Order: sequence, then structure tokens, then C-alpha cells
Amino acid sequence: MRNIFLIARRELLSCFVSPIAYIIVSSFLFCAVYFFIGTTFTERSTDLSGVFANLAILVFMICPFMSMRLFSEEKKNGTIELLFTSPIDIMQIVIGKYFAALAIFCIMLAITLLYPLFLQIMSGVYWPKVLLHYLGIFLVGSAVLGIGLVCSALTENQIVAGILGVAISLSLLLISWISNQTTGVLRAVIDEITIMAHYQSFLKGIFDVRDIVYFMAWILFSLFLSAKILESGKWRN
Amino acid sequence: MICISNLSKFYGNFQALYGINLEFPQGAVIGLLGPNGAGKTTLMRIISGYMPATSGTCIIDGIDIHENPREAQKAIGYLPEHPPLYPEMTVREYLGFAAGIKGVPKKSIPARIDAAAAQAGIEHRLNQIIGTLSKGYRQRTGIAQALIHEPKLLILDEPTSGLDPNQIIEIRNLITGIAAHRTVILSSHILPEVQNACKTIVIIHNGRVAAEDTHEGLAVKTSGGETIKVRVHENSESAAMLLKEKLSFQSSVAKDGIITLMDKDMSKKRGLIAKTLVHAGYDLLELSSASASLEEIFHKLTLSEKNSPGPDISE
Repeated sequence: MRNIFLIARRELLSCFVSPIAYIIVSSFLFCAVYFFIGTTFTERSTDLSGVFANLAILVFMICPFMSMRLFSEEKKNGTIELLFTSPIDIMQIVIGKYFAALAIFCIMLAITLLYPLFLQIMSGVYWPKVLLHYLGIFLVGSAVLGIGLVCSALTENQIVAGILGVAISLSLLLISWISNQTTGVLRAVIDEITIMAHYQSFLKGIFDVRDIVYFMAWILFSLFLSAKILESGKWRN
Repeated sequence: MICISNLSKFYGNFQALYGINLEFPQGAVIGLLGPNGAGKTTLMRIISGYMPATSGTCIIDGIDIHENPREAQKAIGYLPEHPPLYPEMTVREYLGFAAGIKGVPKKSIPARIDAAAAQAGIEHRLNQIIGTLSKGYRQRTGIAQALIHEPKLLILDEPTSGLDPNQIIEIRNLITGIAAHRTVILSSHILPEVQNACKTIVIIHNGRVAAEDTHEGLAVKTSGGETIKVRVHENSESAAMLLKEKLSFQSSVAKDGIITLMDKDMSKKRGLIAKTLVHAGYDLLELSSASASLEEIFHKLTLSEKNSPGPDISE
């Protein structure tokens, strides 16, 4: 546990030294405010499900860039040699780094809480549904960060990792959009495997344990896959 | 302390190490010497647990590095060829992080940082950002990192590469100081570095151990005996003939006024050389023992194995 904490803390420290973190966080917040204002003022509604549907697309595009540097940078600087020759498990390194990225994502989400608070003061919001939206977007972000983590473990070039991550996450988004045009078994299968389909119930205000299990499995799988990729890299080198 | 048996490493179809067998006791200072691409870095990476060997075992302080890497790595401090530094951190933050992941208890981390920084000579740079340090100080920070958990075994991969001559001397002195208390493996393709610092020298060539001995031992092995150089005022050729006849050396060659004498056992003959020459009326100007330099040994060993089947290795 201590090792995970140490890795996460170092990652966060480095993250906020580089301008990339600030650029990502501020562009996310800028877009989020745009969605909030656009939806509530044009539609004159306190229902935030439309806002959160848009936010998810933003998350798909931005989160891979948040996790692109996690391993690529270590590989490029050679600091991965320090981690791999220290008495620490690869899984601890992976979890520590993932938590660091997740922490930044949580900070981003926490700042957007200002908007529903503002709406509360103006006219009042239905908090259980809003909090469910937040849980949903948190899980979507966690899953997409997982994709970025795997991509980062694959290459020492963080730009390649970032673009690969976005390509994968947007493809998943595209598949879930296509599923709207299909019917029958194909649609059922797509709805089971894509992130967006599982996010829909959160948008509708439905809490389903199956969705939680889906996201948890997705996150654990990406952590496991990243660890395996790094381990096999040690063999191939 | 270190027991390596039958260690081989393949990168895909390409074999980088061929059945390496080495054994070193606690406190040994070992110099791994070899041309670029001989397999030194590969061997050090396997010993440090950075990557696994394809076959064979490597046991550090009684623990198999492949079977139980976490336990074995507690006893190992490793400095890769390029020091693994985070440029955005201060030296203190970096050493604190390194101490943490190497399992130093939280309470003793500040003391360990100070001790390792003092050993590496960077105590006045602790609050500086690593990205702004000179190359020599980065190397020292890397060494402090390797020392932070007081490892029994220290592995240094080309610790002086890319440094200027003054920095090389500083780092070399630093290593000599550190080596007094622990087992050290250090690699280099710069010969004097190994010659000065290391008691045992292992020459690696094409993924094989070409030789393993002390410097003096290697000199005897490669030249076939000890060498003594003699300088006389004139008639060096006739003096060489005289010495060969009277004292029966294996070889006695005169060139440019210097006679090079070689024999397996010099201990008895050494004293007689001067006596014989002076007695015969030669003006003796100089008499010195000249064991083959490491350059010569290295050249001889690596060139003589040129025709071996091992392919070129790129690290």
C-alpha cells in the first residue's frame, strides 16, 4: 500500500510541474462550463442528463491524454529501470500510476460541482439524480483512463500513446452509436460490451449493480493488461 | 555473495550471453570489461533483476533473483548507464522517493538521504532541481540513489561514461571509497578505470567470459610470464644475448636500446640481472618490472576471439 502511495504521489508531483496537466484540466473545465451554460440557458431546464451525455464524449477525447505519459515517460527517461530494479511489484507501480491519473480526473470533476451548486442556489436541482450522473461520468472516466494506461505501457512515445488511446476510445464510442441503428442480437451484444451503453442507465437515473460490475471489470482488466505488457517488455526488452 | 551459473540470454533469435559462470565473495570489487556490445549491460541488468535470463541462475546473497526478485533486490543498488532521474524533482525529493520504494522505513529516510548524499558528495545540492544539475552531479545523484538503502551489492553500469577527465577522477575516487564497505560490480570499456578500482577483472567478449582474474594474473596468463625491461647505455643486442645465455630467459629481445626479458618465474632471476650486466661491464641505466597493461591484455583477448561464433551484439 505504501508503495502504491509513493508511486501515485510522485506521479502527481510531476504532473503538476508539466504544463500538459494544466492545459488538459482547463480545456475540460472550459468545455464543461460551455455545456452547462448551453443546456440550462437554451433549454431552460435543471435536468443535467444532456450535459452529462456531452461530458462523456469529452471524457472519451481527453482522458487518454491524461494517462498517455504514465509509462511512456518512464520508458523514455530510463527511470523505468529504477522502478523495475526496486523491491516493488509491477502491479503496485501500475495501480499507483493509475490512481494518480484518477486523482486528477476527480479534481476536474470536483470543480464542475460548482455548476449544480449554482443551479441549486438559483432554482434547485434533484441531487440524487445529479450524484448518479457524477458516479456515471466518474466510472466512464476511470474506464477510459484504463485504455490510456494500456496504450502508455505499449510505447515510449507519449504522443503515440495519446493518439492510440483516443483512437481506441473514439472507436468504442462510434460502435455504440452504430448500435442505435442495429437491432436484435447484434445490438444486445454491442450494448453489453460498450462503455456508452452502460453509461446510459446512469443518465436515465437508474442505478444498476450490473453497470458497476461492468466498469469494475473493465478497470481491473486494463490494470492487469498494463502489468502484463510491462512484464512481457522485460522479457523482450 | 554472487553466484551466476550457466546464464544465457536471447533477444528473439539472437543470443547475447552464452552460458556465463561467475562466482564472487562478499567484499569483492569486480570490473566487467569488454568492447561496446559485448553483453556487459545485459549481464548487469540480469543481476539487478531488471530483466530475466533465458536460462541459468543468478543467486545474490543466497536468494535467486528470478525466483524472488523483491527479496533479492533489497540487497542490490543499481545505477544504469543513464542515471534514472526525474528532472522535475529536487535531489532531496528524488532520494526520498527512491528510499521509499526501496523499502527504507519512513522514520529513517531523512537520515539515509543525508548519509547517501554525503557519500556521493552532493549534500550541498539537495534542494536543487535535478534538471539543472551538471552531468557529473547527475551521476552522483544516481550513485546516491543506488546507495540509499545501504545495499550489500552495488552495480554500476559505466559510471564515468560521458564525463570530463576531472569528473572521471572524482567519480573514480568516490567509487573506491564506496567499495571499501561492500561488493561492487562496475562495468567499463575504459581500461584504467577498471585497473585502478577493481581487484577482480572479468573480460567479456561476444557474450562469453573471455578471462577472469586479478590484473597481475591476467598479465601473466596472456603474456605467458612476467616481463622485465632493462635499459643499458649501448650494445643492447649483445647484452640481451648475454642475459639469455647466462640466465636462460624464455625470451630476450632488444629493441631501441631497451631489452625486454620474459620468463614464467622471475623471482630468482630478478636480482641476478643487474649483477650479470654490471659484471660484464655494461652501463645499466634502468631496470623495471613491466607487467602487460590492461590495454594489451584486453586487445589480445578480444582480438584472439574474433573468429569465435558469437555474433556482434548491440545493447
